[in-house]
Amino acid sequence: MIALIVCALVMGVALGFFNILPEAALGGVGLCSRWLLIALLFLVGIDVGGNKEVLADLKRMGAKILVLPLAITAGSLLGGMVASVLTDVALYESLAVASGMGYYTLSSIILTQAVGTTLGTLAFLSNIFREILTVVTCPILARISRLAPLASGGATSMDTTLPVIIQCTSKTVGVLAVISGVIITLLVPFLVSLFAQYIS
Amino acid sequence: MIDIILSLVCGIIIGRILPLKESHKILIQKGYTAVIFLLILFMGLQIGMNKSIMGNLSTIGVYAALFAVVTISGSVLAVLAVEKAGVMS
Repeated sequence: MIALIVCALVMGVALGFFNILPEAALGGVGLCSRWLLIALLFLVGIDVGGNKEVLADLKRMGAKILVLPLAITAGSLLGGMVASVLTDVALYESLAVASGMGYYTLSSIILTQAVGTTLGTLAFLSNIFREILTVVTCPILARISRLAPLASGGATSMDTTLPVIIQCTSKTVGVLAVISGVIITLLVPFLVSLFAQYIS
Repeated sequence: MIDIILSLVCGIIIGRILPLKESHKILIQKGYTAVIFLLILFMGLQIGMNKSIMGNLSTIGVYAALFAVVTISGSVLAVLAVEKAGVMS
């Protein structure tokens, strides 16, 4: 999956950079992207809604399971505020990027469409870095706490970083990672588009 | 924003109601991959055409690394605080 995404990105950048496509084709890209994004979220929804095991685990653990993804989200948003102070990126732009929580495809696509390509690029790179850093630092984080790798993974703890998290911790943490990742994945489109609305 | 949330909610409801076979799930996965491929391709197109991004790629890269580090730190610290408070036990 990651190879395919890098391949699509490189192809797109090359096509755009060397002005290969005719002007008429470019006009359709924006409109087409909007509908593709809606289709994407629909498919993500079907995937989550059809996952009976996750739903059963959610019911068993009750409201307590919400604590983990909510803490992870709050922490990331706090980090976004810190990043806004350290850089010249505006507060709501920083919060929108931080809300990606590793879900680089969705957050960057939403921000490219809602705000602009520069912020979309920042979201793409920072969230892909979050995924890579989670994989690389997983053994170290697992020593600090068994839940730390899962916190670092954010939305990615349900799929891409899950194997590494289980490897560094345990299957039990793996179950928590999936549930927390699913809830964060559902929060990402909501939070990113919410903050995008406040960017002037 | 409302269309994004609505399509997500519609998907969840349909995923819950419809009994999905394994073959359907594979089809959905393929559709998901195709849509992601096109969306990232189009995003790449917009990045490639944007001369100010292509010229500032190193600055954006440094910012991106900083954002990754501070968001990870924030999330890890928040979860450590929750663990310390004993909520998860």
